[in-house]
Amino acid sequence: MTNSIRLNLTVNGEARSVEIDPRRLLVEVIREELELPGTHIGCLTGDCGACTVERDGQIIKSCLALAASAEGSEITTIEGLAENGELSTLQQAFWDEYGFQCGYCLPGMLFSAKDLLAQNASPSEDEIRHAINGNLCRCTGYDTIVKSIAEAAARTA
Amino acid sequence: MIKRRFAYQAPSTLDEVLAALAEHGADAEVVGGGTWVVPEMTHGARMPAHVVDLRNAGLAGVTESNGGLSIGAMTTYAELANDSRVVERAGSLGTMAAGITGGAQVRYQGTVGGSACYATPSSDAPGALVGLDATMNLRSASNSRAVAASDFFKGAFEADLADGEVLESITLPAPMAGARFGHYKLKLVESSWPIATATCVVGVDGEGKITAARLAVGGVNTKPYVVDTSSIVGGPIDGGAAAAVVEAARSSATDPYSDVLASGEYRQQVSGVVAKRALLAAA
Ligand SMILES: Cc1cc2nc3c(=O)[nH]c(=O)nc-3n(C[C@@H](O)[C@@H](O)[C@H](O)COP(=O)(O)OP(=O)(O)OC[C@H]3O[C@@H](n4cnc5c(N)ncnc54)[C@H](O)[C@@H]3O)c2cc1C
Ligand code: FES
Ligand code: FES
Repeated sequence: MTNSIRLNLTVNGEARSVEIDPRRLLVEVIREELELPGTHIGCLTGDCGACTVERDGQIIKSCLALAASAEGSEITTIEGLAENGELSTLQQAFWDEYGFQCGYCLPGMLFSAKDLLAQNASPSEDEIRHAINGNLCRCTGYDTIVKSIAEAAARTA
Repeated sequence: MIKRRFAYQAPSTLDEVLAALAEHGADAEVVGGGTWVVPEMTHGARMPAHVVDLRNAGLAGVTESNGGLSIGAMTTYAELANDSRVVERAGSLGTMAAGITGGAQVRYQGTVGGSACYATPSSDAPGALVGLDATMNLRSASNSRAVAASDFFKGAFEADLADGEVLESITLPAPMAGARFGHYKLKLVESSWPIATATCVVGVDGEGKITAARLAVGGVNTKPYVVDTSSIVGGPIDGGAAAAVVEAARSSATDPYSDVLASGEYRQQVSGVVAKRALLAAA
C-alpha cells in the first residue's frame, strides 16, 4: 500500500488502531480490518441501512463515510449492543417478536430503533415506522419489526 | 473500496482547506457530510486525485447574526431540525431538514452546504434557501464573496461555485414582523425524492392581513424560483390568496425539469398546488 494512513478509533469501548488505504469506506474497515462482520453491506449507496453504526452517539450509514473521516471517533457496532454477554432489552424484544428472518437488515434496524427510543420512550406506531424509513427489510414485511420496537419500549417503561 | 488512488487530508482550518484546493484545482474533491460524494467515488462517477475533507475545519453550527442566522456549511439536517432558533426565525428550513428521507442516519450525516453545492434540482434545501432569501458566503484562497441564493443556483447540477471555492456559511436575514413559515413537499412515497417543494414566509399583522410575503418553488424548474406574491399583500391568508398563488407559481414554471420520477410537464402542473399548500401551511 503506497499512501496508507493510520486510523485511531474507539470501537465498542476498546481503543483500536489500524493501517488503512484512504480509499477504504468505514464499513469496509469495520468488517475487514476490525473483523467485526456484524455490520452488513447491502447497497453502498446509502439506501438500505444495513451498514448502520453509531459514531460519537449518532447513527450513521457507514458506507457513506470514508474510514479516514472517522479518525478519533467512538464507534459502536452491533457487536457492542449486548450488555455483559446478555442481549439488550431491544435485542431480546426482536428475538421474542420475530423481528427478523434472515437478519441482514437487523443491525441497522436495531440502531435505528435505539436512536428512536433514546429520544422517545413511548413512540406511536407511526413514529416507529418513520424511524425505520432509512432501513430496508426484504423478509419480514416490517410488521414484526414495528411490534418488536413497541415491545422494547413497553419493557423499558 | 474506491478504485482510483487519492491523497486524503482533513485540515483543521479553513485557510488550509483553501490552500489545498488552490494547489490541486480541479483534481481535488471536497467532502462535506459525504452522503453524496462518497458513494459517487465508490461507484466511480467521480475520481479525484485529492480529497479534502471539511470535517475538522470548523464550519458546522448555527449562530445568531443581525436578528437572523448564520448557518455553517457543515451544519447537518439534524442540527437544523433541532435548533429552536431555526424553528423560530427560519421555520421552513427546520421543516425541510426534518423531512429529509433516508432515515435519521442521513439527517445526522448530510449537510445543508453539501446539498446546496450539489444543486440537484429535485433536492430539498435549494428551494428552502431561496424562499428564505439566503445569502451564500463563499471563500477561496484569494477571494471571498457573497451571492444571493437565487443567483447561486444557476441550473441543474450547476451552482455558482468555482474550482477552489468553498461555501463557508449561509446567512438568513431577520424574519419580517409577525413572520409565519410554511413548507410543503410533494413526493411519491415515504422515502422518495421530492417532485416539487415550496417554502414561504409571510408577515401577518394583528388583523390577520398579509404585510409581506416571499414564496419560492423548488424542484420544478432546473433551479428554484421566486413566485410573485404582490397580489396577496393586504389581504388575509385565505382561498383567494391561495388561488392567486396557484396561478403565479404555475406561470413561472417555464423551464421545468424532467427526471425518472416525473416529467417536466407534471412538475409544471403540480407547481401551483404545491405553492398553495406552502402558503396555507403558514396560515
Ligand atoms: C439515502 C439517502 C436519502 C437522501 N434523501 C434526500 C432527501 O430526501 N432530500 C434531499 O434533498 N437530499 C437527500 N439526499 C441527498 C443528500 O446526500 C444531500 O441532501 C446532502 O445534504 C448532501 O450533503 P453532504 O454534506 O453529505 O454532501 P457531500 O456528499 O459531502 O458533498 C456534495 C457535493 O458538494 C460539495 N461540497 C460539500 N460541501 C461543500 C462546501 N462547504 N463547499 C463547497 N463544496 C462542497 C462536494 O464536493 C460534492 O460535490 C439523500 C441521500 C441519501 C444517501
Ligand atoms: S450498505 Fe450502506 S446503506 Fe446500504
Ligand atoms: S430479516 Fe431479512 S432483510 Fe430483514
